[in-house]
Amino acid sequence: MTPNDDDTRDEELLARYRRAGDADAARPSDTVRTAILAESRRVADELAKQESSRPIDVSRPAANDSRWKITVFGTAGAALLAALLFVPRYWEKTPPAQVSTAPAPAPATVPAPSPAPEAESLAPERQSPSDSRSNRINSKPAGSPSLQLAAPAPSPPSAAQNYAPVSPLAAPLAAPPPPSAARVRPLDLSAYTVGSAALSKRADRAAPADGALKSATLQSAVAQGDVAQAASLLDQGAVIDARDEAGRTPLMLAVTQDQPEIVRLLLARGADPNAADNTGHTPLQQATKRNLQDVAALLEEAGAH
Amino acid sequence: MELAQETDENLMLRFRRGEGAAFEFLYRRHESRVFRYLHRNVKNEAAANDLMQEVWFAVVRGAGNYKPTAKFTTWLFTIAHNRTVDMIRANHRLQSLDAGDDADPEASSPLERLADSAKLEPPAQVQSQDEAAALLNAVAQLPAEQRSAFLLQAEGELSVEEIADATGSNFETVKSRLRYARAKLRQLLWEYA
Repeated sequence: MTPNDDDTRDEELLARYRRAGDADAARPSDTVRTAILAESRRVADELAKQESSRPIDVSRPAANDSRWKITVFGTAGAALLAALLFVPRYWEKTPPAQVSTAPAPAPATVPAPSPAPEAESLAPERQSPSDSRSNRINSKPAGSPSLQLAAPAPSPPSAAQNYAPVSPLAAPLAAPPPPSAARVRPLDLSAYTVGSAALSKRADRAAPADGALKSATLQSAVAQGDVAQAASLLDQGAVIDARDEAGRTPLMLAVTQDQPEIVRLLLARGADPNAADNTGHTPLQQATKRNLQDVAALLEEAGAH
Repeated sequence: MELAQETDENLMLRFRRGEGAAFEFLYRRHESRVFRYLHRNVKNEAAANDLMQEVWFAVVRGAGNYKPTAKFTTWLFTIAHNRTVDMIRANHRLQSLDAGDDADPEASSPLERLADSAKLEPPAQVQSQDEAAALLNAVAQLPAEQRSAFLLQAEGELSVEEIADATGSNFETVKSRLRYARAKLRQLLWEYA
């Protein structure tokens, strides 16, 4: 006999018992039933009075089971829903649509109609990252004479320019530079720090496949002392601190090649002044070793040690 | 929601909030089953009526503190079981006083002793009754603990675990009682047939 057989027989037995029970006329007496129901009505009246006079005791949430649960879980649920709906919008915030159609700042970088001391041109780089971008743009002097690579634009800055890449890494997010860069009002990118973590993350995520190629080309431009080409490549997304096989950054190359203009450009764009190569030498050490006082001064102003 | 669609637990909660009609509905839903459980255990209509009133008064008066942490019927039949055992113990004390102290209190449980003291008809007599009466008589002939477990399952629709909780017994013990009870009932019914 299987357990299933047992179960079936048990069920059958219970069913037979219940049929027999239903036929059983045994019932409580009317007196008992009346007494029970009368007592229940009396107690119900008492309970109703208690219920209407019971305050909500917030110090004893268990006493208000349904209320506190609704309040707590409802609030938490609404907050979570709001977070799910709105946070991604800010997280993935992108410039307005006209960014992609507006003229890009590249390759020009600094309008600089009037000469300014080198120290001034580098000063914003050492500003706190918390400084607002617009403040830096407005307060920034026109730029250093060495970075006057484009003619001033006749029109006021457009929204696209305001959303121009904060970091050279973010450049690929903008439109490619138009063929006639000279007609584009240059944006004072030297006023920007490599700053905004969010945009850097986006830039990292959006780093194009040709980023490495551009970085390699940047090394080449630095090696050749081609300031305009280096600036253009940075605008297009070349990684500013990309290293070659010896661990040298473009800044290190520029130092060792004694290219103060490129050093200034790279520092203005946020190059790490203390990035050491594989042997542990820093740009400042190389400049000192070579007795490149101008370059060393630039590096020190940028925080090299 | 209409009372007929409410669960037992919700009816009790509505009663706790002062809704008398909810209790009345709940009472009528379980009246017969509780009374049959009591009646078949004590085998005396007057005693069953007394117990019925005690059990439901306990339910009514406990409603203010009721929390649906378990099935309502488990709670209800736990009260019924406990009141039944209390009454049987009280009766046994009276009987002991009448008969002297010759009874051995350790010989069997109160329910066992009550059952022993009220042995019903032998199987031969059962044969003269119709099947339903035979079955009910067969239940009455079960040892008290087995009968109580069987009735909690049949009338209260409690699971083995719930019966163990209601009677304060071990799970395996209850399973064993139920198995013996069903085997005996089948045997008695077979003899009747």
